[in-house]
Amino acid sequence: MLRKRSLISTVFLCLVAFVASLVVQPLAGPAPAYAGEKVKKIKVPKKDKRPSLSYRPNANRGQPKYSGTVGILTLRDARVMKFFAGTDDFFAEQAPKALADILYFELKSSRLFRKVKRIEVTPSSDLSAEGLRKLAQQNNVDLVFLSDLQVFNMLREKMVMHKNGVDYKIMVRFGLFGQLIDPKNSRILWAEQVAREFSAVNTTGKIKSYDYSGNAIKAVRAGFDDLKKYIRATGLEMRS
Amino acid sequence: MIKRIAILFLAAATSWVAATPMAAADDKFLESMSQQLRFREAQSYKYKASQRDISVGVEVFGKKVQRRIIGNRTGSFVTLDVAITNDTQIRVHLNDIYVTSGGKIVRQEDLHEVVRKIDPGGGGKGNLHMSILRMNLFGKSLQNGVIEPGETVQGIVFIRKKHIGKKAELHVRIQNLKRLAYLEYKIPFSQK
Repeated sequence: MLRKRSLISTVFLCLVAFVASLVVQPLAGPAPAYAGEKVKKIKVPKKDKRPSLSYRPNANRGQPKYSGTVGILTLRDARVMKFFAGTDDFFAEQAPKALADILYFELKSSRLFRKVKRIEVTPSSDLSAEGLRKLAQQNNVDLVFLSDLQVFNMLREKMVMHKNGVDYKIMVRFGLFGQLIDPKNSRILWAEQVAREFSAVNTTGKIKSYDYSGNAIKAVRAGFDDLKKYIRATGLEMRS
Repeated sequence: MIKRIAILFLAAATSWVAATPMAAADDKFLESMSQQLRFREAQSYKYKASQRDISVGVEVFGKKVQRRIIGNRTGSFVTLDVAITNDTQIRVHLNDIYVTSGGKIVRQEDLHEVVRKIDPGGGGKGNLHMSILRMNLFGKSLQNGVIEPGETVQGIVFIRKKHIGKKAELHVRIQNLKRLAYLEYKIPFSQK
């Protein structure tokens, strides 16, 4: 009888100790951030559900800064990371092609140049001064605009690292390097890089196209707005 | 009475260990977020080249540093720590970077390939690790861009191991941002 009582009291003490340790345990340190988290694998949307990157640029009624014709060479893709998971298929169009189109439309509507012409040539990373001069002559342009797509991707960041659950910031980044060159003397009139990032909080555990498409367009539009402002403000002008 | 106190103490200690989840502090991916490449100018690297006051330095780092910087090691990629120091008075642009080995040109692959090879696993834990790894790789890799006068840019270049031999050459092309002209650098290096 005495042994039985002793056994019961030992089991009871163990139970009390276990409950007490559960109560005190969180004080020992943060729980892992992934505890209780259920995030679905981010998949490429089906073709008919992919959002478009295109938009209508704002028109400018100002006077052109440059009186000549500018030739816009095809945007070079200099990214180290595609949009997400090694692919650009998150949009209806291929991102570099769509952004090259937007670059042309943006510069055309900016009224920075009297005339804007598209040159469907992707320049190499060692385009020579002589090569550029010939290209300008062939296309009958006074200035050449060269550009590199540096960043266009989506990244996720846990908002509160040591909090259970799904609370991710979905960030879309856009970055571009552009240079305006006078092909006659290969002088660079303007060269700058622009970068913009827009983000949204996602707590659903799955990412749909509307979670990134709006911010992608916002980032691209803001990046090009910066680019146009910088050219107008800091672009060197030629003296005849 | 003493026996009971001893049992209570033992039970509490055992329960504590059982109930405590793997501490977040032991998570190597979380820890890697606060780790950076040691900042140095290009002249202090083991393999370097300099011309017209612009220096390029390169070093190969091993599995231990890989684990510290990106959270896990990757045997499929050679990880190069590259720095470019601009000691001129003009702005320049890092135009191109690649490696040659055995007459072949090898370029850095999309960083997703590095993520895929490291494979941080599935589930909630893997998902968090994946987001950290992508942020880490993007933030710590070397990317094309403008280098201001006096500035040093530094980052990791991932080259697939099977594409290069023990000895290889890093090629860097720098563009002058006053006039369209380039400086080419060739830096021979060997893997550890």
